[in-house]
Amino acid sequence: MYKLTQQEQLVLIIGIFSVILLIVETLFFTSNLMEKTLFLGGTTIGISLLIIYIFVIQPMKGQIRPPPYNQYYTSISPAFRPTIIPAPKKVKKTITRGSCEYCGKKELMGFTCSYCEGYFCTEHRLPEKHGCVRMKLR
Amino acid sequence: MYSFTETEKRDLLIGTAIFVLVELSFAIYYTNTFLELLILGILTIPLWLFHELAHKFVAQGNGLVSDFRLDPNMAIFSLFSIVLPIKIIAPGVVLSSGEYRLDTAGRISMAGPLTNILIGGIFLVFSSFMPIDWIVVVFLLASRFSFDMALFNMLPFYVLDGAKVLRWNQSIFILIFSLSVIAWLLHPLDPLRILGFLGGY
Repeated sequence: MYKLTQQEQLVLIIGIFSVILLIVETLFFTSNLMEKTLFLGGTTIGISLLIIYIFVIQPMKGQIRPPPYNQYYTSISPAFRPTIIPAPKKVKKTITRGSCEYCGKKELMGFTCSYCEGYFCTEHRLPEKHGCVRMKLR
Repeated sequence: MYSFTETEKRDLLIGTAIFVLVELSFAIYYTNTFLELLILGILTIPLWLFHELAHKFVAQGNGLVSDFRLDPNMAIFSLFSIVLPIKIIAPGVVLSSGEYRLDTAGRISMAGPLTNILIGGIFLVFSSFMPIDWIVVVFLLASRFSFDMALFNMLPFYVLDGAKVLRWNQSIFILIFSLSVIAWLLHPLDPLRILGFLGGY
């Protein structure tokens, strides 16, 4: 539960006291309509300005340190919440070891065919040499 | 920090127009000349506009994303209430988004009704200095509408501002609610007759 600061408690007491004063004053001590209007107007302006300044504007300025974050409330409308969809990452694999797909010979630094992306030894690295499927389709 | 979107500007304009029209349809029983209605129309603009802007600016000041949005169904319903005897004005709401604490929600909510009480008080003070009778009546009607709005918004129901203040702190709710009730009751224009309970029209 959020605790009020001393200043806010003081304003709360002043506010309730002046509301009671407003009732007593207008009901028992004013006879003139204009006097009553003026008093009601002046008191409402005063109290509302005081409450707005202490309870709304002052915490907005950051003059009062906020209490520890324990209660969070989020918006009701889901349409207003921005959603971030991460872009799919493209990872290019470079194969450095394996066996040739044409003759089966083990090769440490082989070649990948740019058409069929197969791994080949130095002899069969060209598309013509390993009978590349993709090249034939073209 | 404080910013408007294009949709919001349009929505605020439409909402203000609806509010002024409904309030004038309310006031037409008490004032009849065109000039009175014109001045009353101009005076009722800040009641609604400042109420919504207060919510918006306090929310943005607390680091939230906040926008006024028109609710089409409620806007049409509000337009219908120009003809109906029961007036309900709720063309739209201020939507705030982000993570905020319970007290921040209360502070955002209490800014609106307090602005209405402040404007009503200013109109009351103005009205007591006005020399001509009909201008006094126009100012009193405007402050009457303002106090009505403040009291209606402070009622502790689910979507209204009062519920959010009550959820935060009871004593602050009691202070603002009693202030709006007292201002509503002690207003020079009889509240019961305005609402039509005593057959004012």
